[in-house]
Amino acid sequence: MEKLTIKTVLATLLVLALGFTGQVQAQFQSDFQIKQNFDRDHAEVLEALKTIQTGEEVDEVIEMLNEMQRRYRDNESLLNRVLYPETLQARMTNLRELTQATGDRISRIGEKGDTIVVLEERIAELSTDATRYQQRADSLNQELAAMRRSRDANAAQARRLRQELDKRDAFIIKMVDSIFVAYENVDLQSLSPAERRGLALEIDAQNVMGYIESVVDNNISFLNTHTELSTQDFLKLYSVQVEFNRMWENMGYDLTQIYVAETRRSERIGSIVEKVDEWEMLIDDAAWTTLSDAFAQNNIELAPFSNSLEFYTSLNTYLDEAIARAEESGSDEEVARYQRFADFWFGTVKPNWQEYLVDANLMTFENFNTIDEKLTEWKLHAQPTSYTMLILLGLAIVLILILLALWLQARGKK
Amino acid sequence: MVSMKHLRILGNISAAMLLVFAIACGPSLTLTDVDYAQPMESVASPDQNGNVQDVRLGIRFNVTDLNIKERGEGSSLPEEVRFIRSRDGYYFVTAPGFRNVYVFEVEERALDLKTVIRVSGAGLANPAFNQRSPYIQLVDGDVEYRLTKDGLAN
Repeated sequence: MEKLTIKTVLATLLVLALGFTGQVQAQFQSDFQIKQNFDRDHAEVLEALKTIQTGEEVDEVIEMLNEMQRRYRDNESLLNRVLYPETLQARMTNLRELTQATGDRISRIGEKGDTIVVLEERIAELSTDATRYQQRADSLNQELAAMRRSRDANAAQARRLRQELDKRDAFIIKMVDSIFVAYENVDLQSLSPAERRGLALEIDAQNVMGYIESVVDNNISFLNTHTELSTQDFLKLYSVQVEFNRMWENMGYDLTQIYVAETRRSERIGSIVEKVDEWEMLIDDAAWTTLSDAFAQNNIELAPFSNSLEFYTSLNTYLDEAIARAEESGSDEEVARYQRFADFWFGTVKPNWQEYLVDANLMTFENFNTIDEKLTEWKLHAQPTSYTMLILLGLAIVLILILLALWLQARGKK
Repeated sequence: MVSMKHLRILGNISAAMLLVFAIACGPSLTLTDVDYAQPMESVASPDQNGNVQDVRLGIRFNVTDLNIKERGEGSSLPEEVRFIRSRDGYYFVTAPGFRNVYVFEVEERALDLKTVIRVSGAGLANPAFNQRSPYIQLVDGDVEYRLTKDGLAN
């Protein structure tokens, strides 16, 4: 009992001694060090808030804040002075509010469930692909620049390069489509601006608008430097432009809502719209010029055209006139004219261009059917009138007249 | 009889006295009970020329001569210098390795050494100033010194 008492006394003394030492050490703490420790703890909480993703992690941050509050309670006066014009309390309140907002966001995302998760995964996947395509496009653009300087650059090289860029353009359009299909499921209107920004951060904001703008820039640059391409190439580029326009008109505004800060939004939209207009003007001009030249080179003189309606009207007028002419008098010359048109139409236009003309909304399948029907009609009337047929017709008439005479004679005898 | 000459001299003396009186009664104002206490010490590394500064407080001075006084000619500059201004407006300066704390009085574009306070025979290991008005507390590990502009307070 006595030993126990001595032990207890010794233990008590040890605790008191340790406590006293601790107090002495605490008493001699450097204010500067306290401030540094506070800054470090503050930064740690902010860093944690950037990365937390679960409710449990939010609770851990709240516990960190409680610990901070306890740790710096005795130094409040000092910290108030050195944090001026802020105060310790203001800093802590700010951290708690940030934690609360982060917790709310995590909770809301949790409620929205798999849609967000699927969207984020899809965006991450697309971002990787987009980066890969962007790298490829960069190297292609370097090649393009080198070709501009080279005398040996030819249409075949340009076409090969263009095909590579087409793959990337198609991907960008698909990517934007895909992102928006996913966003539509999320119901953007229900998200707060902060949540939208949060989602937008999943994919590099600059990259989305950057990718879109680079599609336009690359095409403008390509059209300005390559006029030697075939009609088919230009029609293909036209269909890319139309597809892009469709995407931009459907989603351009929504995209900028998410990826561009409000202060810069109208300026950014204006810049892209201006470029898209330039692209449209360039491809429009190139496509109709080359199409007109292609018909002329095949000795088919269509009335001038500079848009899809004029082109279709011009075709119809040409065929209507040809049919009218053939109806009046078919001839070998007319047959030759027909044959020239038909060879070009069935040998080049339909197999090589129809797909792109339809894709670019320049013509419809019905338009093609109408032209086909008119060609059939032209063919029918173009044939010259046959002399054999005339002789046979004459003989038939003579035979009928003979039979008629015989019949009348027989009737007279009765 | 007082001549005109004497009157003129008397007039000049009166004018001079009036001028002295006017100057003595000119714009004179003293604000008292000023508290210069810097809430927390400044810790700054000397640049290659020996200058240390606290941008936030707006003070810069050169510690080369101070270092020579403490460590002798040719000695390298300390890695960091710690300083704090007391409630009375005096600057207390020291650094790791220093045996003394130097107390400076503020003059026009100058710091005048007022007191050298010997605090450590072997040199301070990890000194830090705390503002504990009316004292400046110097802590070095588990040792504490209470300083005033005139020396150790205890």
